Amino acid sequence: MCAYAIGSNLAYIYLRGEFSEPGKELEKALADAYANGLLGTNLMGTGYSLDIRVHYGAGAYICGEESALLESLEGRIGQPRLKPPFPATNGLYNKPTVINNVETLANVPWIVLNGAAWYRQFGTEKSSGVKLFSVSGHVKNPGNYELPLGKYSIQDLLDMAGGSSTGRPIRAVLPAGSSSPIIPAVNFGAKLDYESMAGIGSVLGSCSFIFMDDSVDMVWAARKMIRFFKHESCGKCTPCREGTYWALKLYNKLLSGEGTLADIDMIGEVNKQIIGKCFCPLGEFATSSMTFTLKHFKQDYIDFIEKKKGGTPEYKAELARDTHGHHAQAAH
Amino acid sequence: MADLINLTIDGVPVGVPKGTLIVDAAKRIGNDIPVFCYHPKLKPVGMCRMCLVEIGTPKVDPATKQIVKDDKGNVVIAWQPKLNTGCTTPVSEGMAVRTKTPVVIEAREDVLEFLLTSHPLDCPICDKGGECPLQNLTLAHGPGVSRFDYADKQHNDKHVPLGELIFLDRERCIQCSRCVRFQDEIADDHVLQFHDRGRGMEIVTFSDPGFDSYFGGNTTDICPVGALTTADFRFKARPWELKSTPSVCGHCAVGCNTSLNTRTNTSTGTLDIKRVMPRQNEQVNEIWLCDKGRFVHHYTRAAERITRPLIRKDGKLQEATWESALQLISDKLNTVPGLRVAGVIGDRVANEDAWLFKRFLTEIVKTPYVAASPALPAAYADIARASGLGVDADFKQLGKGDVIVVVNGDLEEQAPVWFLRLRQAVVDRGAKLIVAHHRSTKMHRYAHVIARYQPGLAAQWVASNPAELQGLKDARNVVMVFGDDTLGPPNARALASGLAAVLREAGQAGKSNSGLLPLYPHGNTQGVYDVVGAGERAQTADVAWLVGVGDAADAPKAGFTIVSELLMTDLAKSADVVLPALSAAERDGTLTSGDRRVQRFYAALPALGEAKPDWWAAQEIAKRMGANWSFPDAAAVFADMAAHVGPYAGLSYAGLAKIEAQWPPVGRDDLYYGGTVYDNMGGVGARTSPGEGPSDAVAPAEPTMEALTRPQPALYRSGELTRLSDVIGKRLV
Ligand SMILES: Cc1cc2nc3c(=O)[nH]c(=O)nc-3n(C[C@H](O)[C@H](O)[C@H](O)COP(=O)(O)O)c2cc1C
Ligand code: SF4
Ligand code: SF4
Ligand code: SF4
Ligand code: FES
Repeated sequence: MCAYAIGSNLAYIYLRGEFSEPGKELEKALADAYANGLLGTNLMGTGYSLDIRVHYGAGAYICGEESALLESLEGRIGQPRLKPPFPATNGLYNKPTVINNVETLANVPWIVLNGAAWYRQFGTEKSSGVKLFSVSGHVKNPGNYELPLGKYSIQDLLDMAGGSSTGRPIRAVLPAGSSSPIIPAVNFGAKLDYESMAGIGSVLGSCSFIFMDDSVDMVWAARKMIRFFKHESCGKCTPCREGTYWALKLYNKLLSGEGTLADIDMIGEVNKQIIGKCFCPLGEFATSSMTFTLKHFKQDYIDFIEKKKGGTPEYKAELARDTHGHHAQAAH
Repeated sequence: MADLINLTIDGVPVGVPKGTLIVDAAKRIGNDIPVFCYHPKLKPVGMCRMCLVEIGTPKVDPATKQIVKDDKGNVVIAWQPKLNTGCTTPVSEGMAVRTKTPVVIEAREDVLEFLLTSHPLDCPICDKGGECPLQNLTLAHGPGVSRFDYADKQHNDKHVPLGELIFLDRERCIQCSRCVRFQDEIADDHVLQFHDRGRGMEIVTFSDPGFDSYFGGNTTDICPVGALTTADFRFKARPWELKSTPSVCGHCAVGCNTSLNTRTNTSTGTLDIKRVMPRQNEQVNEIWLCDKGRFVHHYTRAAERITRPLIRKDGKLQEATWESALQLISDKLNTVPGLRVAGVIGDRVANEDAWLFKRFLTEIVKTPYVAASPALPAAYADIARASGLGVDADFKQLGKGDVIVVVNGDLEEQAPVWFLRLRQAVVDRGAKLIVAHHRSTKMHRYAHVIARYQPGLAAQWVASNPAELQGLKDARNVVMVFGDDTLGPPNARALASGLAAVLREAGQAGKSNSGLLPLYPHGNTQGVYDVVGAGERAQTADVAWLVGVGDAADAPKAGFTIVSELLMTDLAKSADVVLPALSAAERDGTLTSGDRRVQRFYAALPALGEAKPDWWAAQEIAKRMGANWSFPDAAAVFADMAAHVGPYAGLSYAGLAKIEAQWPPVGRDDLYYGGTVYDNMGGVGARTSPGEGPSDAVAPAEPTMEALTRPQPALYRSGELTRLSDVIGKRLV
């Protein structure tokens, strides 16, 4: 419908390369659509034709960013483009292009069929409609939950997912993966809508909720996230490329047991030095793992030094894995 | 100007054309916003984040759509919540920019500290040290200390050959992409790219052979660090030890302005050319050079250079004094009738040499046989001049509405920097391109119209009134580039006259940005033909004097041959007297480019051995033969030439040294744009007027076998001078 609305005869589904299993399902669904005359030429006798192609990414987080996605689709290195111009005027192969998440587009048929007013009856004034919540982490029933916005709280979502899977209390949640501000359990009463999440200093974003029980050390968790961002930094701009590298070195020092309280301050400094200077949101995302673990769980950092939590065999093994294992090349 | 945009930068008002970027607007009022990835010749990318500034625009009341003013009637500025890049943001009316506030200063320190965390800080052994934007900007804007643990530094390969000419130091690269963008946007040789991501990101070449481009040397100039170095210059000298002398490249018709960087070799005590750098002249080469012009200089100190006069004795050339050589020549010339003397002047020699020889041969020796070499351009140089571009022609003005026609020429191979400039007129500024050739050239990539004809039939094609050349009447300007590939003299003349006729019929003749642009073989072809004219060629002579003649076919059969030369060429080896000439690096003089710009070059090196400028030898013999000449220097010879050779009337040697401010400023002391390009010292030269010329149509002739089987023009076509350069000699085809 989106393609029809803008008069396009070609659409791409850009799928993470790692999702090869779901990819098979997707391709089968598309094949069915072709077989039933819903894709291809002259759809249902309207004279309108549409092809949908599936493109598998090569494993880069940044290629979810719309303009880097376009670069990748065009066969170039996955780095975001300078905006403006925006994809709506200069997109794929410099042609006007609409880019949306599948979830967004999945709402369209229902809105077209039932009208906007019907759709608006779900959710709140400012956050209308429904949203898919992808729940993982220390919960009994991880999976996707479709909920109207603004009706349920974070705690409700946790309860729907069966509560803690380890029996230990849940300590915090990342509401939109590692790029989002972490939410301590005291704030789980907040409703699942844009305004309420903003009210507790976080975001709704992709709604991929990762719940963590109280066994999770936030220094370890933050390092994990920084390592991810350092690995995923496309390298285009200085603060993200250099800042995530430096920050990871500091976290590694903490994990290896050689950290000092000064290193914690240095993490804060490096973090501050990245914020607001990046070319694209990925670099800014990287800072939330530092900003918000430091904000809500500073004691974890202090304990890490004072109670000498670093340098355990587990941490050493983890550090060794990173420098010699699969990600070695990116870690040099 | 009508559509100037007005803004304030740190409270200072400035008006700039629409579309100007904040960093350029700031530069106009002397405010150097530091940049690394931005370069005024390349499209902005906003990668390095060095140019972050505070940007605000007049606050607009959403209800009334009126600009909000405070109590005092001042416009209220709505500041953007975050810093933004001045290199990617175009100015807008009423904009306010802050470049010196604490947040901006801190951001610069932050970005610099980040950049330095992955930098090896090996300035003491870095070729860029002393002219490095990273060094300069660190001193100006960096934090005093780094808090990064040195042990955490990532170490990368330091000597990665990207091709045989350019080396990459991966540690020093700050990932600014200037090199990639130069290759993509300016040279259109897509041979560089980033590989991997994050800190692993590195410059790679994916062409085979590596870094396959005629323009790669330019990337080492604009690289803001010492990551890219040339095989020629790396580890040869420190920039601050170098003396720079303005010069002009004489290896094709473009006449790129250069700067010869010299330094004393401490072991031999001699002054050596360490590198040839572009000298900014926005009218000629902007800030670019082709690799030939940059790397060919080694012939100036080649072992093959002739350092003393040679006289044939007992069948062998033997060293002699100037006195004996001059005496021998004047005795010889005194004994033969003038009509039995022939002079040939090659198109690499300076105007002063060509002029004094011509004057000597016609006035003193009194021979009509004075000709230029090679013979082919003589067939059309008069037409090329008279129907050439106007005096005020400016490549930068060519764009939408203009038509560029390239007939029978291969711009990239024959005039590389014109290729860059005309390509940009088409690709970036919308000029229409018509290309006609019997084979494909790189320029075909951008052509809107392509015509083909059989080899050797270029003039016939033009004479056939082809469809592709219709409609030129409506063009704003028409530039016609042409070459003599596969053409003999009659057809080369027919082509030039045919194109000139097309220009006239389309009403384009005489416009300042319209005219012919000839792809001459060397750097002073136009100048030598201006002086020598059509000339008369002798088949045989009693005495022949060859001045810088490369092609043996241009030498008359003579009983006694004098050769004035730089190198021991085949012609020199078979001569009776050989006179050592000075290269353009060792003397001063002028050259006239293919678009008739007369430009001065200056002595950078002392004379080699006893070599002398050719004009000096002509004068010495003239004096021995009774002339009371006393030209003390090239300036005096130039003045004499200007007084006698029509198109040069009114030019003065001193006037050619006039300097004009260049925009954008890319000089070496500039913290803002970086690049090791040299300021225009030594003068921008002056274009001579087209003057009067023939306008008779010349009918095309049958193609000849000699012309059809001539090697096709190529930048690295076997050439004596190129062969003597270790770095590019290998590229000869
Ligand atoms: C670093 C980065 C990664 C992103 N990854 C994804 C992604 O994996 N999937 C996605 O739908 N959008 C992703 N986005 C957001 C897209 O750029 C884009 O805004 C979104 O797909 C627009 O669709 P929507 O308006 O329907 O949500 C990412 C953005 C950034 C900055
Ligand atoms: S912030 Fe910069 S380095 Fe990081 S992903 Fe975006 S463009 Fe690339
Ligand atoms: S090699 Fe030089 S020009 Fe190229 S990206 Fe690196 S620093 Fe920039
Ligand atoms: S383009 Fe011509 S004049 Fe310029 S550097 Fe190359 S050979 Fe010399
Ligand atoms: S981001 Fe503006 S100069 Fe690099």
